[in-house]
Amino acid sequence: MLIELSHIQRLYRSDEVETTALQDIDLQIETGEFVAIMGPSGCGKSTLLNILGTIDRPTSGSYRFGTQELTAMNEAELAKFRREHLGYVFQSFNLIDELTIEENIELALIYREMPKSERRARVAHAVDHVGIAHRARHYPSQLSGGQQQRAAIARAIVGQPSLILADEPTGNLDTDNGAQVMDILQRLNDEGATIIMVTHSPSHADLARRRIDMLDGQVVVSVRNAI
Amino acid sequence: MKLTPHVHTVFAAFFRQMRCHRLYTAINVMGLALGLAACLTFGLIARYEFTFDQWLHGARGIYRLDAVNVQDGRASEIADAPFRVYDALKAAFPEITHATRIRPDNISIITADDVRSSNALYVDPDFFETLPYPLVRGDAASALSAPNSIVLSEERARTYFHTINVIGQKLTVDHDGRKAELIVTGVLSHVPGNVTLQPDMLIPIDSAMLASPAFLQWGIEGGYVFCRLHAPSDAKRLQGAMVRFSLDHVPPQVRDAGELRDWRLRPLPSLHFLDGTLGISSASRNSVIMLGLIGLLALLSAIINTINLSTARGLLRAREVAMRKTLGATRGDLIIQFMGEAILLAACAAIPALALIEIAIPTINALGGWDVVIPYDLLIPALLVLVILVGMVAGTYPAFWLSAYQPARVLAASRMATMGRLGAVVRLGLVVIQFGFAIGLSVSSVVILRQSVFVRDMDRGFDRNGLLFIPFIDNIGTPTAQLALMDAFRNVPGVTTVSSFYTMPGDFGFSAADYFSPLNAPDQRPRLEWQDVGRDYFRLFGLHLIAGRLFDDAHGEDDQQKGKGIHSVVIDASSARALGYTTPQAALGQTIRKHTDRAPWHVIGVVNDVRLNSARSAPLPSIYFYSSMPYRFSSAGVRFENRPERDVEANLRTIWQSRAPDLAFSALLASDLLSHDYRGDERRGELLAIGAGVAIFIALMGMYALASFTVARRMLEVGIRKTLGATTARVLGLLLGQFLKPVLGAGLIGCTLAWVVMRNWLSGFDARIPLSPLYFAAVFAAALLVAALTVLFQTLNVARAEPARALRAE
Repeated sequence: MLIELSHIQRLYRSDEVETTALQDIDLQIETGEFVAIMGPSGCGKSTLLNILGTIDRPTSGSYRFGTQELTAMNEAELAKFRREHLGYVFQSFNLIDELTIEENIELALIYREMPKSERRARVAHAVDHVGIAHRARHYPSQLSGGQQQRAAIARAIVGQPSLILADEPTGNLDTDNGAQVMDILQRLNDEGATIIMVTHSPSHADLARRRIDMLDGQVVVSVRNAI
Repeated sequence: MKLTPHVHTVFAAFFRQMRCHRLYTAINVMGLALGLAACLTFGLIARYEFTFDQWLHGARGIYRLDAVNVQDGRASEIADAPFRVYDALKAAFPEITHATRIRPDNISIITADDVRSSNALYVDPDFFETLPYPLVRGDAASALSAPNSIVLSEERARTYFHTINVIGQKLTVDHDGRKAELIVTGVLSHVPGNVTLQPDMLIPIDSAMLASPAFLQWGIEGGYVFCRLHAPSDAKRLQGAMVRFSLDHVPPQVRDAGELRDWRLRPLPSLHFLDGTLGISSASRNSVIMLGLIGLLALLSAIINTINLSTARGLLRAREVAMRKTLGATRGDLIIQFMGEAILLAACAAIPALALIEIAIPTINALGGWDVVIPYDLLIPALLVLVILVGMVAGTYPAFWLSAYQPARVLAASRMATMGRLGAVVRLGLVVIQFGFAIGLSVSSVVILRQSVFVRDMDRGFDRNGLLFIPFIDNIGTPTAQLALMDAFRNVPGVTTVSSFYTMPGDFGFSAADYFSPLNAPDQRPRLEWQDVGRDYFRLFGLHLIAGRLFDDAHGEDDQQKGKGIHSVVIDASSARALGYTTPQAALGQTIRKHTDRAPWHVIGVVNDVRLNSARSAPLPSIYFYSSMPYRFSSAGVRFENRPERDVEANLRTIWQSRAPDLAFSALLASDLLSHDYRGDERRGELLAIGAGVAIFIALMGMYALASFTVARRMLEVGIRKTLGATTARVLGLLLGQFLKPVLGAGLIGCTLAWVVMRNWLSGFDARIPLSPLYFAAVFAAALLVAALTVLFQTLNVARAEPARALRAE
């Protein structure tokens, strides 16, 4: 078992209002799975993904990753965990405008304090893998949306993470570019990567091995797709 | 384009921005107010300094005649002239319509219950025709025509008579060695502080003075000679004829001694800074230009803040711009709006700026010794013009840049608008200029203040503590009376030593120099400062004997006033070297000759070097002659210990008044005399420090506000970095590093400029501190530290943000 969530709850509190974003979530994900999370806006998909990615903390519950209990970790330990195990792909790409594509990709390795020669080799391989080698020295603003998202995927995989988290990776892309991104994700999964993807697109969700439907902060359906 | 709706829009948008973004508005207004106040305050000082004497009617047609002497092949100008030139000048040049001699002197004013010292100017009856100082009482045409008349300043009239209606009143004075009763014939109007001659009282030169050597001999400088020409254009012709004039009128023996070889006609308005370069005042054109520049740069720094903050805020207002354009606003409308907002912002800063000027001027006046009066009739229009100019300069770049947003792109983008790389470079450059200026100014003020302290504390070769001087004791009467006075001083409790001499520290008193050469090496001919000293002089100053012996009454030949044989001299170590003696011992027993009269002297002793003159010039090698009886122009020195200076001075005063009841007593502390050598620089350093403080404060305010916007804008980036595994410390280091990068660049530029300027400034001193890298490093480190502290809180906040929250920032 790669991931095991038990009784995860996430509350947001303001002075006057308390909102429950996630409620009593139990979820297990095996190594090598490709899971699609679906549901209407505001159902808690992204919050769940953020908690899985340790960039948000649950209000209560347990999150085990392999043998590690992540809810007990402090900020520095979580940062170390993220750089060693996780890769992210966002709907809005989240590339840093001031850095070139290869610098954006390299950033994930810099935090691992990897030697420069190895970083370069890995970046070259990653951009090649997603088909944007010819754009490596450009800035994000000089690339199309599809190319930017492929760059974001390259950044996510360059560290060879155990888990790739994708938050509506095709949300800002046209059909063709969306299909290309899904091809890449499928290929990565075929190569052994575990992927959890939030999406609004049923067709893209059908490409995953398992589909989880959420409503009002709870998992309502978890089904395996026939692939 | 109708203006009214625009005005309404501009006002509405401005006041809403003000209300919603109080920090942004406060920092902008405070920065601009400080910048405007610094600019106008230093501007008023520059105006004060550059308009010396210009208030006097026809000032450009008034000239001072300066003598030019030649020493060692070098021409040197002196502000004084021998009064003998006066008649010859008027006869030779009909272009001169009026002229006056001016002899400054110190006189005693005798009232029923007191004797007070006062500065007086002895002048010719043509004084008011030459220098038309206005009179508040009396008639300028006749005020100085009677020999026993006196014209008082308003202040003196009130001091002595408690009114300015004093025409016909009598004033008893002791002047020029005579007691006289003068009749007040005029009262001078109050004159501005920026005037070269600030007369307390004017007394016509009388026939007794006209018969004195200072008025009859070419070789003696009597004071100033001023003249008025028909037209300023005549000055050039007169100047061209001055060498000929010298050849025709100055006796050959005076010219052969290098004196009065030429003359300079100096326009009255130029005298203020000229006197600074001649060393008779502390005026410095460069210092004033520097102050003006500081004011301008402080304003520029504030404008940079406004530009940076406007563009930074503009990024957050991109959607507002896009929506306005979508709703039909033209680019021109938006330019008017943003320019209008900038001008309103500057206008808001004008009121606190005025208040700051009101507060600053008295402080700056006290610090710099100025008498600047705030000219509101000039200041208010200047402030209004400056507000519009500043608003336009500060508003132009943001207005044109913000108005260029493409609405479709901004509205379609999920991300905040960015300035692009060029915009970032511009903003970085502006911050570098701000901090570079502030750091350069800070280093300069540190160096100037350190040099002032060095000059204050430097070893001058004598003990300055417990040393009082009573100038010109010769006023009291004969040499015997002077000796009796000094004997009486010796009995004052606490007094250990009393002696007489010519030259006091700090270039005060009388001084003379001549060329001397060893008998056996006539080609060796150094110019030595000639010190005529009385008994116990060396003990008074605490000089150390290096070789030989000091003057001793037991050796009759030591006293130059006794006998006709070869007399003794004591020289200092520098003189021994200058005369070619390899060691102080080698000088002992040697005979040297004075150039002017070829008289021989025996060297009996060598003492340590003493610096009585300014740290700016090389110490003069000195030669000491012993006179048991004081000469004319002698001053007395009194060393005391274990008693308060006030008590000693009071006792000395009592003795003086018992012997010369009609002569005002004055006593000067050695430390006060020496303070003239560093006080000017100390003041300049303090003013620079104020300028540096203002500049740093403005720059830090700008950095703080900019940091608020920048961290808000970089929240997403922080989220991404943390998602990729960056720790808080790493993000903090990254953000701090990026904020401090311009300060590093600025430090490099500011320190380099300050190094060049300060090296040049220090080269004007003979005794100076080394330009240590420590000053630069300390200021640089301090700048980095305060800049880091300024942005630390905001940076820490964003660096500690939860990644998920950071990613939702946009």
